[in-house]
Amino acid sequence: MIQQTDIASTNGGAEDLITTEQIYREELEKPQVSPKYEYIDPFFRSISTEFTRETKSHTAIIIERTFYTKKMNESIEWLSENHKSPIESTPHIQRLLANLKIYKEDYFDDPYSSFISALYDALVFNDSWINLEKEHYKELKKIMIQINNKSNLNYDAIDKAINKIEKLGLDSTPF
Amino acid sequence: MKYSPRKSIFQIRYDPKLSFYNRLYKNENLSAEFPHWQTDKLSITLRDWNEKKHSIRIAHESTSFESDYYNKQYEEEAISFITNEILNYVDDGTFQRFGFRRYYLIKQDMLFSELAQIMNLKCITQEFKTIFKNQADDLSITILSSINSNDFRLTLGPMKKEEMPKWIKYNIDNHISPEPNQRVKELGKIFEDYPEVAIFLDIDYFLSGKNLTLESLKNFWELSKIDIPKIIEDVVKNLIEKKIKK
Amino acid sequence: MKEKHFLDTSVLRPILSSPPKVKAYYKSVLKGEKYTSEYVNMEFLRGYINSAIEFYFLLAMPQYESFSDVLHIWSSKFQIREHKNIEIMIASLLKHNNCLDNKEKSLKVLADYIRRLVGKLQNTFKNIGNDSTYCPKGKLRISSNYHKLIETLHSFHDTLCDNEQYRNCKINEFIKQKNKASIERIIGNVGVTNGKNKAGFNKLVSNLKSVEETKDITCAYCAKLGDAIIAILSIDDWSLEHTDYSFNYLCKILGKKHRIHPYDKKIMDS
Repeated sequence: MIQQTDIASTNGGAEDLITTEQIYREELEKPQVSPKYEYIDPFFRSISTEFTRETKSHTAIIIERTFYTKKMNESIEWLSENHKSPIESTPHIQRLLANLKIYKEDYFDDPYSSFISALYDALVFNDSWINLEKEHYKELKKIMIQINNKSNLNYDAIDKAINKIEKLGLDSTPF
Repeated sequence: MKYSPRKSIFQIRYDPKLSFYNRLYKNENLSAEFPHWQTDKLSITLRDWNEKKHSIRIAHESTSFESDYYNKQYEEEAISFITNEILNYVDDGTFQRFGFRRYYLIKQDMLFSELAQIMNLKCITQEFKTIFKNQADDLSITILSSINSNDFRLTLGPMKKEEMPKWIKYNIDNHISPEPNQRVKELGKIFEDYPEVAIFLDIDYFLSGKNLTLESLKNFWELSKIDIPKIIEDVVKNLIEKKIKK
Repeated sequence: MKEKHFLDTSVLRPILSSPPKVKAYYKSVLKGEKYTSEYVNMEFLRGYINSAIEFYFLLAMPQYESFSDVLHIWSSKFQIREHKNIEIMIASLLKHNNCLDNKEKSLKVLADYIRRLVGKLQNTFKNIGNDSTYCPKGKLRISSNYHKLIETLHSFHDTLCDNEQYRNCKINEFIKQKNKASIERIIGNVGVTNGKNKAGFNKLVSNLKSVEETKDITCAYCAKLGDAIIAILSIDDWSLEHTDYSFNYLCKILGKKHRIHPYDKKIMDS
């Protein structure tokens, strides 16, 4: 929290700052909670420094995941109600793909990004997004919410979600 | 109420008048509700540093209730006490400002840097972020707005444990036992009880005007009980949203 | 009633991973339900996925900076089956992700795509239900979280290469007891005369003959008998889909319905 000059003083007794400092000093001098590091075998460490950085807490991952999924779903919601021709849909698809791209590149820590990258590849390859109907986007929105809200997301659930997007006519392994 | 405040201050400001002193010191009722009282001849402080950890300070320009331990019943009793007694030393229609300030620490199970990043993500636009290359190590946001004919100023930001005593100033003089051993114990416990990382919220909910009445004070108090928790819950819910409604 | 297709690995691979024109071809000709078995899945994992994992670890070596650095050694030294298809797949994947020159990003993208392929294999097809080889390698999945993904790839690869895994399957009973009669028919070339493109089939027959002399059919030996095993597993009136000439002979001997498809290159050139 950034220190500010006091905007409004509180009423009450005078603070004994010196006493407070003395009492709190021991606590204040305790080392901060250090970031969590996983032990990575040197063999793997030589592969990439990417894999030795601190692990993100589960809570932070879920909050950021939900934030981005909501943004993606805003675009998908529009497409589920209005998608007819590529021309009108382009700004919404552009926004959706931009958010998908941010998430798959910047949030690799989250296994959810594995689903996002599958969706991105499927929509982008051969511009498959054009051929989807409104109903497909409606179903896609449901899949996104379902997988986002899963409390302990694992790769089995992700693979099942990828299979669901395949059933919409998308190819998640287009290469 | 989903979140309990760490500290609350309910303050009534009024026109200062000399006759205040005559009327104040004649009022024996004032000390009846509190185990301890103190005066410096310009104001009276009624205090309970035992279980309740709260106090009322009555001065020529304002009366304030301050609490460092939230308990709905004690708070109701103390503020009702004020509203029942205030016209004994202040004239109706001379009130200038009602204010209810609450401080919250909403504990978060994540690192400080992660919380700062999340608040950065949610509160700052993408365009603005490019100025500092998307990396904000710390931030605080202050908003001035209104709800239901009352105004409020809300300050929020991520906070680490060692910052908390500086932002939430515990009323040590009036809410901590003066007995030395007990005092040391209680002071230590204050810091112990702080979370490692939390969302800090400081909300000042107020109504300013000329010639406000006791009736408007009571309305203000009733509305504050609904509005403040709602604002806090909505802000926190948005910041730490983990699921999407279907 | 919809036709049922039992997929040999040679068709399973392009259905999962190939250029759009090849996928479009299979989509147009295989309209019924598609089935695989643990054994077929194992062949795909051992052949295609394992090779992709080897490419991954090659790219991860400190002396290589990018995909193009690795390509030379991959093409010249790693003459394994499917190596060309893997090269095409990885090149397309990395180009699409704009990371041909970015080693860190390439590794992440490739690891994720390998994981995705394995997941798709396990979720896309029905199981034929009669695979009495009980090959445990066919059920392998990549299920752990991101931070253990690299270790998982490593142990995944090791398990697939482990020659001792035959101790956990029933391949010996499958070949030497349960399907002895079918094996003898294949060895005896029953009902089949000499024809073109028979070299692969002849080699298979020679390997089957040598089974008599082997005490245990290990994983390495089993790999030489794959076509025979898949042909035996195929259900009589289902269509065994393949690109391999040896199945023409195998299916004629065993009286199984089958269909041969062109290689990827031929489809692309058509």
